[in-house]
Amino acid sequence: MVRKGSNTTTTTTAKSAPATKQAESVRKKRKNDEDKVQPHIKKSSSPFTSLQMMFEKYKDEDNLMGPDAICKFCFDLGLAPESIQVLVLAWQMNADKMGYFQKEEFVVGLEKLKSYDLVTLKKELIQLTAQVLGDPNKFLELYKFSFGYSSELVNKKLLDVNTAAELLELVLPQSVHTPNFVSFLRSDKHNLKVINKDHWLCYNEFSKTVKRDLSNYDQQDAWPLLFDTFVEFVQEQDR
Amino acid sequence: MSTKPQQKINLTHLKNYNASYQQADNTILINTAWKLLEDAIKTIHSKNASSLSFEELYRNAYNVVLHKHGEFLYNNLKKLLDTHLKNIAQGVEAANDEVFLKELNRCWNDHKTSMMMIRDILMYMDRTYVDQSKVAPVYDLGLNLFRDNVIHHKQIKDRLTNILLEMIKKERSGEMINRLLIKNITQMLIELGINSKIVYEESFENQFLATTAKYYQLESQQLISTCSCPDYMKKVETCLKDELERVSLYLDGSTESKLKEVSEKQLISNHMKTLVKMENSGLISMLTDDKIEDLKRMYILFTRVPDGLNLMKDVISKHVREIGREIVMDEEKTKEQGTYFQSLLDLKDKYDNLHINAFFNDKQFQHTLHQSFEYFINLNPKSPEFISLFIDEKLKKGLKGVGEEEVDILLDKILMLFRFIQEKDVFEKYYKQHLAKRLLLGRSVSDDAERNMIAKLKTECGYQFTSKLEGMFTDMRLSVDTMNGFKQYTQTLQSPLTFELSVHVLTTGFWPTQNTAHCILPREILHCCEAFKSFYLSQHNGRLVVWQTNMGTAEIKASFPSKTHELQVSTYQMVILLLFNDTQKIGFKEIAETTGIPIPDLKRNLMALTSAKNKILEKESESKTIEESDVFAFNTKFKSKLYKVKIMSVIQKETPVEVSETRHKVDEDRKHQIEASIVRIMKARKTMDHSNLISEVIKQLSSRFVPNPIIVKKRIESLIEREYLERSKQDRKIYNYMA
Repeated sequence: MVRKGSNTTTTTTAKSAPATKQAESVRKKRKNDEDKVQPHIKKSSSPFTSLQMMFEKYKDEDNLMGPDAICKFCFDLGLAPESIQVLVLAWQMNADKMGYFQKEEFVVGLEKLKSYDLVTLKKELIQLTAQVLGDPNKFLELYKFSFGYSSELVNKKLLDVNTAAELLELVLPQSVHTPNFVSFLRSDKHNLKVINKDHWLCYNEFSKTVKRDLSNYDQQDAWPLLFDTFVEFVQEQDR
Repeated sequence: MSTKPQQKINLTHLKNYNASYQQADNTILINTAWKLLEDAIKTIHSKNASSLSFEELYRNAYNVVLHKHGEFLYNNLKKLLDTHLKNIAQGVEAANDEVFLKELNRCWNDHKTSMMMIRDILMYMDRTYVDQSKVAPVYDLGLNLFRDNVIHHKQIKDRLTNILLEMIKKERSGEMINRLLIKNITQMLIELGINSKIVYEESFENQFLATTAKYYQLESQQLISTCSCPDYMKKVETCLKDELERVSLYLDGSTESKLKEVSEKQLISNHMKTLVKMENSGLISMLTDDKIEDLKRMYILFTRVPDGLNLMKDVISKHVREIGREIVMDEEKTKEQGTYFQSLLDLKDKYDNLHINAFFNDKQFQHTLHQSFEYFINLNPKSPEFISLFIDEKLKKGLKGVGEEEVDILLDKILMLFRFIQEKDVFEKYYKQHLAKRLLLGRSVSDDAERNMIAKLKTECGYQFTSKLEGMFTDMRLSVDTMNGFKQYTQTLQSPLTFELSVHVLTTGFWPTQNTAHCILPREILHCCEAFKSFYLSQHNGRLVVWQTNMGTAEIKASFPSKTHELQVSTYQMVILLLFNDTQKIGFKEIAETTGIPIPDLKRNLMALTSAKNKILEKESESKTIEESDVFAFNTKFKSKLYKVKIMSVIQKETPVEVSETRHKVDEDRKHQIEASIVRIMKARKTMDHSNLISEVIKQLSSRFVPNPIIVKKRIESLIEREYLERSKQDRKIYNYMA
């Protein structure tokens, strides 16, 4: 998912990946080529170069794709920038910050997906996404990643509630609690500004273990206080 | 019967031809022997046994058995007894109700005597034949036959039971009956059971218990509708005693527990609730009126039945809670802290007394009482403050002229109530404030009592709780030394001080700190202060001296046209009054500016100075409160009989702001304490699950306050956020300590 930030002109000093690192990744790449010979790699004379070129095509700063560039990339890819597949892509890249792909992240990520052209990438992403959503452990990794990726506050320890709400609608739309939780996060009744990582991780568990009617929710249990308030919020709403 | 020996002869005949003659001879012999025995038994039954020869009879019986005719003898005997007892039964049956039991008893005794004789004659049969063929011995045979033919006789069985029950009923209603006869009869029933009590139970006990239940059911219903609770209990006590006596007089011991159970159920269990709740005489009114004897009786009676004490406990607990609630929620009483607390103390005394004298120091009752007290004392959030105020009151004046021992007893009692307080940290805050005032203003009556109290708190709550309080005492002691030193120092000064200065040096942190607004001291006083400061700092290098002008007092001489008086005032009041040395009239705002005293304090002190009792200053407006537009003038017409005039400062009530401030401070402190406790526990355990951690924290802190689990949870979350703890990856209910 990419949030179209208003700060497209951010003076983010792109961490230009040191030359040595690039060299290293090239080396790795070659080693990979020797290990596994895959058909589409064979077609392309130098898959690494094709990734480089793909990046060059979209980048808007030296080693960085900003929000606009990513939008364009997504458009060409045929996926919405705020789709879960793009979040999976960012996860595969291990992208550090939402709306920005570093060159190195880009190359490493696509290579991991063994995708050297947009068609394969799209296919891979759709496939991988389906796989991740079906596997709780993999999903948890994606879920954990999405917090850090989206967080812009205090060393990535906090997530502002609006971002959190959007993110949940993207990653956990299937949970019966998500609509309520999202409206809870967005309501200004409780003066909520941010949630922390603990809350974030617990919500995944909450969405999986607590029944739709909240009947098995126990205040004495180790749920963070936020969930006590949430349950009260829902119960009040229902009344 | 005659065929049997015949068969036997045939059998032997087959085995031994030569013996055939002897066998035939034997048959005649045995028949003759039985004839003899039969006659003898009949003679015994007709009570003419003295004419018989025991030796002869024994020998005959012996011969019969020896010649293997034991069975013949046994069966014949059985037949004979059967016939005899059937006759007896007819005789008993024919007796009318009045003599029925006597007749039965007589027959029984006769039967027993005859059976003993018969047993003796047939002793050899008992030893061999009975033993071998596992049949009942002769005596028991007699008992069985008596049981079957007489006791279980159709016309006798029910009649016997009914007559027995009728007699007992008569006795219950106060008539005299032949107890010995009943005892004999019950004894008979027991004996007839041989080694069991089955006959006794079937023919008597079962019906007896049932009628008893019925009897007491009616009786108790009648009693409960007519008697008061204590009267009813007295009656029940007598009934139960009577029943117990009945058992020892003429029933079998085994009936005791059953009878007790049945009668207790009818008399106590079934009416417990009604009794306890009886209006005007039930448990509650006994408690109210301190009816120790009745309460004791109730306790003893209720101990007998299951759940009896629990019922009492519940009612007492509910009652105490209600009374306590009334006290702590009573607006009037809470205004007067003294009476508020005194009522609680009285209540405690009352129930302690009841507990010891009426409830035999029952541990469970004590527990219930404690819980109830804890419940209502903590209902009023001001209780910690009130306890401290009560102690304050006692230590300021209440203990004047009271012996050391009594002081000790009183303090112990206060401490008992203190124990019920959950928010001990709030108490500490207030106690500190009150103690500070007592110490600084010299209000304390007895230093010993003060120290005694601290020592008690220390044993109750630990060293930590009182360390700061003790620090305050140390400060006071050191200040005396400092002042002695300062006095010597002033003598060496070139410009002597114009007045005496007494200073208490208070260590920051020990004393309740108030946000000190400085007031601007007059120059001459400032000079003294500087002198002290340079003296103090020369002794203790590197310290910071701050003047707390809001806590000081002063004695000043004031010349009124009529007389010169010495005024005892607070430092603030002194500062205000000194302004009038230079001028006659000053407005409120000007006073505020020149003195720099905070407005609320200034208003309060001006109020004291313009009060009707000691009107040192005159106010131009008539209003009762002090307004910012007021103008003040020196009251030249002031008069007082006394030379020394003490200006009572208007009592500073804790303002709402201060209350919430104190509360806030307490809450802040608690946060730290909870976090410290969590970290302490987790550091030791490394990993622990949520509910255990919460309960451990509450346990650790309960000596100071009872933390709300939600707040503990919040602190845990905060520690997770700050990465002191983490949730276990496997189970979010388990926390790991992160070093």
